[in-house]
Amino acid sequence: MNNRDLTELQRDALQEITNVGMGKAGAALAHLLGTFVTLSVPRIQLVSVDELISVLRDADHTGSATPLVRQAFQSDISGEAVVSFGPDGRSELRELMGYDHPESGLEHEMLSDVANLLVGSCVRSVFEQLGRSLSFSAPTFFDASAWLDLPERVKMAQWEVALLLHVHFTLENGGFVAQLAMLLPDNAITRMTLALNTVLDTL
Amino acid sequence: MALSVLVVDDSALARKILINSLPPDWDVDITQATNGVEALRLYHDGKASVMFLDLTMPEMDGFQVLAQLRQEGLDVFVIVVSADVQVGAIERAKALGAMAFIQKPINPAKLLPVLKEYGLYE
Repeated sequence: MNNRDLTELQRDALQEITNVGMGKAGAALAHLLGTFVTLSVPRIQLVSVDELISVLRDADHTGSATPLVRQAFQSDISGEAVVSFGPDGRSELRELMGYDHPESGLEHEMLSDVANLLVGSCVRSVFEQLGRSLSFSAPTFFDASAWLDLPERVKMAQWEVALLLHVHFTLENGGFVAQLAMLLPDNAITRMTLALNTVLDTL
Repeated sequence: MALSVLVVDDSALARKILINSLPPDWDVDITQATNGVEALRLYHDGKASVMFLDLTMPEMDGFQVLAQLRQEGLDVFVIVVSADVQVGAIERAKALGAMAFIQKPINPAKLLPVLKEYGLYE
């Protein structure tokens, strides 16, 4: 997929800004888990709805669907974040929270809290660097079956393309903990490119 | 004689912000690298008395660069400049020989005290 709406400079700037946000989220996650979290270089992609589903779904490369948490954010650039969790991340988190026999209700709550932590630190940092404040909606949990009708549920069918900022957290042993995708719909992409130009112009 | 400074980061924006944060009157000769492999090559070419090193990079990351430099006897003053702000990352970088660790985004207020502390800039 080409980045047709972003210049190379804009893409680089957005990647670096996302990188700083990811670092904040990674530190929060590492603190929570009491372990070292390996950060990836963020990926920036323009994607169609179908591509988006496949990128999010293939996060752990097993093809198995994982639960996810959505959280919308609002500023003059609005969008939403989707966090999905891998099996290793969920068992680490369960262990941490002392769930021997996880009740799904409690696990939902725990995963929503962790997603909220990741989204809050990462997305807030991205917007701070763009000189903006923002507000968040409450996180919403979806179980694995939500993947089947994700386009309807996240109302992305109305989007032609979305800008996907994709970061990946893994454990030291390579286990996949969680991934966070920030999605900006068509109308927010233009505003984002203008915001990036402002950052680039100040240098 | 100007001090050789190597700025290592895969992001052009990050390199630019860093270079803009250096004191304007600091007598330095700046070279840039976009990954760890390039950084080591330029270090071997004598381009790095001081190295500003990012951690999260493709090809060869900052930890690998530090490990390699250490194995070779570390004849460079490394300041890690990273978005990875985990306590574990800071400890690991320092254990591998980094003298200082600055959290991104960098600015003169974060950089100056470090340069002064180590006598790199008066």
